[in-house]
Parts: sequence; C-alpha cells; structure tokens
Amino acid sequence: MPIKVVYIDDEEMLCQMFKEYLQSDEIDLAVFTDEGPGIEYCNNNNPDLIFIDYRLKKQNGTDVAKAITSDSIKVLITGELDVTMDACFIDKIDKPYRLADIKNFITETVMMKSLPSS
Amino acid sequence: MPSKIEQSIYEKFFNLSIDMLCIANTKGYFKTVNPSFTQVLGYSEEELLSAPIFDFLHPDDVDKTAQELAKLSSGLDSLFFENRYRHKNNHYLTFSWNGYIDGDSGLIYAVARDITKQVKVRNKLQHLQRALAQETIYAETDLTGVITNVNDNFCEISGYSKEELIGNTHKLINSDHHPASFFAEIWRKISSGKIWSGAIKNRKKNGEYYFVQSILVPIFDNNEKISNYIAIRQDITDKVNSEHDRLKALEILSETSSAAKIGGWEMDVATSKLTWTNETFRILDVEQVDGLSPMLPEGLQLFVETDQPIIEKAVQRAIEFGESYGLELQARTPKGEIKWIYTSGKANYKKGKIETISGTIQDIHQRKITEIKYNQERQKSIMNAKFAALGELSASVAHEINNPLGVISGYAELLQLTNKSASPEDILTKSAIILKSCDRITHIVKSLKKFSRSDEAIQHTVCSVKNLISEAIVLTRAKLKLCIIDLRCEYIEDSNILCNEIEIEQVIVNLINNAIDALSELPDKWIDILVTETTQDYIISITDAGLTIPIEKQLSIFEPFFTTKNTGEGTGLGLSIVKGILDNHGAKISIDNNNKNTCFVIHFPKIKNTDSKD
Repeated sequence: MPIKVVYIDDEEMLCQMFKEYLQSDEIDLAVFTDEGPGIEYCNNNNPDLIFIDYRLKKQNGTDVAKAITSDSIKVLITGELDVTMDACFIDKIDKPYRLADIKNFITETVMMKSLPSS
Repeated sequence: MPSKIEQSIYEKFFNLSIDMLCIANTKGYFKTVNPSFTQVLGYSEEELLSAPIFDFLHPDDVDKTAQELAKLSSGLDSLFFENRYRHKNNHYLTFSWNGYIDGDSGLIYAVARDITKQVKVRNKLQHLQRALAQETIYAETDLTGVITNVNDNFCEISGYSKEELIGNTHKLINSDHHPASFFAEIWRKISSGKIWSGAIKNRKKNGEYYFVQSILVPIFDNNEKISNYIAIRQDITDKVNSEHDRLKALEILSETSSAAKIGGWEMDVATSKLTWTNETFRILDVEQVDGLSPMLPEGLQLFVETDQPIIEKAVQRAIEFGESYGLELQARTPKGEIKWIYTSGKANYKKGKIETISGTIQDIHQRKITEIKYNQERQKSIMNAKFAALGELSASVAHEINNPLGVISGYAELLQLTNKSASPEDILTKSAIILKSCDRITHIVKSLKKFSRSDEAIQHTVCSVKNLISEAIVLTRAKLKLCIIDLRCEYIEDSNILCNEIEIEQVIVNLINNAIDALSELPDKWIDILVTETTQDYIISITDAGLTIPIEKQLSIFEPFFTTKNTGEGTGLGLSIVKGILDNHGAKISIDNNNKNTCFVIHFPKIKNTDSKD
C-alpha cells in the first residue's frame, strides 16, 4: 500500500516539483494550491502525512491544520524566519528544503508511525 | 534874630542840601522848596510853587497824603511817611517824608528823601519772601536751633501745628535716618556762616516719612554776626520714591538677568573699551576689578581658538557695516572651563556714525549640552529604528526569497535525479523555471539593497509615484500576505515627482507597515492606496480599515518617540522620520479627518518648470 501524502502550498511551482519528484509507487501524492479543496480532500481521504505551508491564500497553515479532522501526521512547511509551531504539527520544515530530505522524512515518519501501532 | 553869618549858613544848608527841604501851608501849596526838589522832580521852582501839591501826587496816594496833612495840621509830627510824586517826565518817584507844623506860623516844615531805589529793593525782597512763604516749606530758627517761625506748608507736611513747632527744635521731626554726624556737619557749616543744602529725611507727626531738599541760610545782623537761620525746603518725597522704585526696578532687572543668566555688554568703537554688566563678568567668570574695563582683544580671547575668528569677524562686520549678529559659541573662562554661550551684538548709531556696539551674552551651556546629547540620542534612535525596520523587513522578505529558493533547489534536484532520462525540452523547461525564480530573488534583493542604502548622499531624481508605490508594495507584500490583508491601489499613470526615491519608498513602506500593524486585531483587513492630483500636488492617500486617529493624538503622532504600539512593538520614530523626510521634500503629511477610517494624506509638490509637453 502506497503512503498517502498531501502537500498544500499556494506556490504552484513547488507543488509541481513536489509531485514530479515524489510521486511513485510507494507514495501516493496529492497537491493543492488552494487550502479549501485541500482540507476537504484530507478530511475525506485520511492521508498518512500532510505537508502544509504556513502562508496560504486565505488562511494560515495552523488554521488549515486545525480544520483537518483526520488523525494524519501534520508537518508545517515555512519560509518564515520566526513562525512558532503549533502543537498539532509533529515537525516543522524550513524552506528551501531538499526534496531528497522530504522523501526520507516521509518514509521514516510513516515507518515510525506504523511501528508502534503494529 | 540870627546874625547874618548864621543866616548865610542856614541858607547854604538849605540850598545845598541833597535832601529835599520845603515849607508848605496847610492849604496844600509849597511855600518854599530847595533846589534839590527841582533837581529830583525836574520841575522849576515856579512850577512847583504855583500848583497845589496834590497835582504832583500819584492819584492813589492823594487820600493818604490828605490824611497825613490833616494829622500834621492837628499838631502831630509825620515820620517816614511815604508817597509818590510824578516826575516831569511822567514817571513816579517815591519820597519818604518827615515833617512837623510850626504852631506859630501854621506852616509845615518837611524833609523828603527819594527812596525809589530802596522801595524797588524792598519790593523785590517782599516778593521773594512771599514766594518762599507760599511755595516752600519755610522755617526760621534762632542761634540755638529753636524754631521761631514756620509757614503753613511746614505745618502741612509735618503734621504739626505752628504752636507745636515754634519753641521746639527740628529734633521733633528727626527720622533717625541720619547719623548724628550728619547734623553736626550741617551745624558746623551754617554756624561758620556758609549755606548748607542737601536732602533730609524727616518724620511726620503720624510717623510717616517725607523727604525734603533743604537750603539752610545763616542771616547776619548789622554787626555781621549771625542773628538767626532760615530754612527753605522742598518736598521731594515723590522724587525719592520714584528714584527708589527705579533702583528697585534696576535691582529686579539685575536679579532677573542673573536668574536668566543673561549679561549685557557695550563696546566703544573708538576706544575698543568694553563695558560689562555684573552678570557678564559672572558668565565669563572674569574677576571684576574696580575701575578696570576689559578691552576688545581681551574679550575676544575668551572664546575657544576655533571660535575666535567667527566672533572677531562678526564684531568687525558690526563695526564696519552695522550688521547685527547672534552666535552660539564656546567660551573658555580664565579658569580654563569651556562654556557654551549665546552672544548677540548690534551697532548703535549717533549722528549717522556707529559709535557703540552693544548686545547680550547668555549662558546656554546646560541647554546646549542637553541639545547635543539629545541630537546624539536621536541620531542613535533613528539608526536603531532603521535597523529595526530593516530587521522587520528582512523577516518578511525572507519568505519571499525562501519560496523561489525552494523552487530552484527542488528543480535542481529533479534535474539531478533525471540527469540521464531527461529530454532536452524537459531540461530547458526546468532550467527556465530555475532562472525565473532567480529573477524573483534578484528583484527582491535589489529592492532591499536600495532600501537599506539610505545613508548615502541625498540625490533627488525624477521618479514616478506609481513606481515608488509598486516598489514599496514589493517590500511589504510578504507581510501583507502573512496578515492576509487586501491591498487595493489606484494610480495616476503619469505622476512624476522630484525626490530621493529611497526615502520616499521608505515613507510609503513605513505607512503601509503601520497600517498592517493597526489591522492585526480587525476582522476586515484592507488597505487602499489612492493617487490623485491637484494643479500643484500629487496626493497619495493611504487608508486602512482602522478607525481614524483621535484629534487630540493627531498633534503628537508625528513627534519622535510617540507610539500607540505596545512596548517592544514600535520605536515611535516611524512617523517622525516620515514627517522629517517629507518636510525635506517640501511635502506635507496630514490625517484626513473627514474619513471615518485611518487615512494619511501626503501632498507632494509637482515638479516645477517641467518641460511643457503641449
């Protein structure tokens, strides 16, 4: 079963490259530049991992994370220098990030999650 | 019967006598007159004998002369009787008569003397006496100082009656103001026959004081011995009081100038001699030596070396051209202390020539030191504010840079990942995306660089208001986005102004940032930027959703260190810097009170003498 990952960022090019780099048999990736459809998708599909950018079009990342009711692992992505991470996130990744690191992060985090639960 | 010799003696006596001798009858006719009569009155003997005596009299003296004749006729002697006779030339002469009637013959024998001159002197004395009695405070004392006579004025001013004064000495009105030696000196002088004059303070009966200018005169008898003294006095109480007031005013002035630390000085152009007030000596800490005046070169040397040429030139120009000056300089006191002073000078003309230069000298050391410190602090604070603004800007711009940086990094990774499988088109597309992101970063960095370079020499260039606002928005976009604020702009396309573009951009960024901060708590967040124009100005209005600033605060918001933000959120220098920059550009910033929202309005003057495009 592929890992279900969602990336929400209003920067279209970031979404595209995320998709191009990470989409594979192991990772089922959905990307959204608008937070509304992103929240809706997450609430319906219960992904394993959600990356949420802090600055979105109408809301900020924290508000979006709180609007997502699934028990998915949420990671804050930000280009800000000083955004405090809300407790609903398990981690924060600063922009610019390396896609290779993201890939490792996905596999490691999901493995970690699956280990104690199994 | 007298012998012939005797008769001749009597005739001689009669004819040669300087006194006027005559014999008259009781009917009022001269029977005999001696030659003196004709000499004194100018009439011939015949003229005098042919007319009644009354015809020669002054009309006013006819009655009393008739009475005197009647007195003589009744057998009484007449002594020192005076009346006036008309001279042939029609002027009157005063005669003093002694006469008696000879009972046997019924004839009057009389001797007259022309006393016209004496009467004139006597009248003059009488008038003087009357004037003294009426117009002065008059008193007479005996040799021991006991008052023997006073006039009403004396009684009036002293408050004592004549009865109280006469028989007393002047001790009665002694004020105890003068020492005993003062009166001893007066006595020494007048008892030696000299006149004393001077001012004396006396006491009235009711205890009040009065001042008199006194002339004390010793009066001599026929043996040239002092018989008594007279005192003529004038009330000078008002004068003394006004003099006292004047001195008091001077004293107050001196105290005031001392408190205000303002001294005065004057220089005689011809001699270069300086006259200083006490306070000037005090300010410059120069020892005051009686009778010694400082000279101009000494005065100039009291300034520090660097300031000496400045004051020297100013004084020189005042002397030569009458130019006034006011300078803030550093003086070095003789004790070596450096002191900030303000000194002014102006030329004073007399008959068209500059005769003196005068002015003030003020100790401004405390104020100046405070001012210098304040300016240093202010400079420091402005620097801090700039750093703070730059820090804030960097934080929000970081996001704008990190996003394209993320794109660059990501696409580079993709290119690495697909280095063998990628098609040339794929590589081109990806590298184009990378380059585009680089451009985005470059643009932001350029704006930042420009923004931070505000310390360079001010260069005013022609800039479009539209571009200035666009650039400012680039720099604030990140923050606007973070706070999710809706920014709307309406420009005029052709809107060139002459300005230091970095500074004006700084102004707009500052105002936008202020608006953003003001909106943080509001549900409805928007900022409107509107550019309009009048014939003279471009008007930039920056309105945000916040309520307008209360009028009582409007005056102070442009002051340095005024802030409505919480501690740590703002330096309070933003708007003062904004105003300072706009002032330097001849532009004005105000708050539009007709707007229910917060609306800052900048009136920026259009470029004058622009090339006409029509």
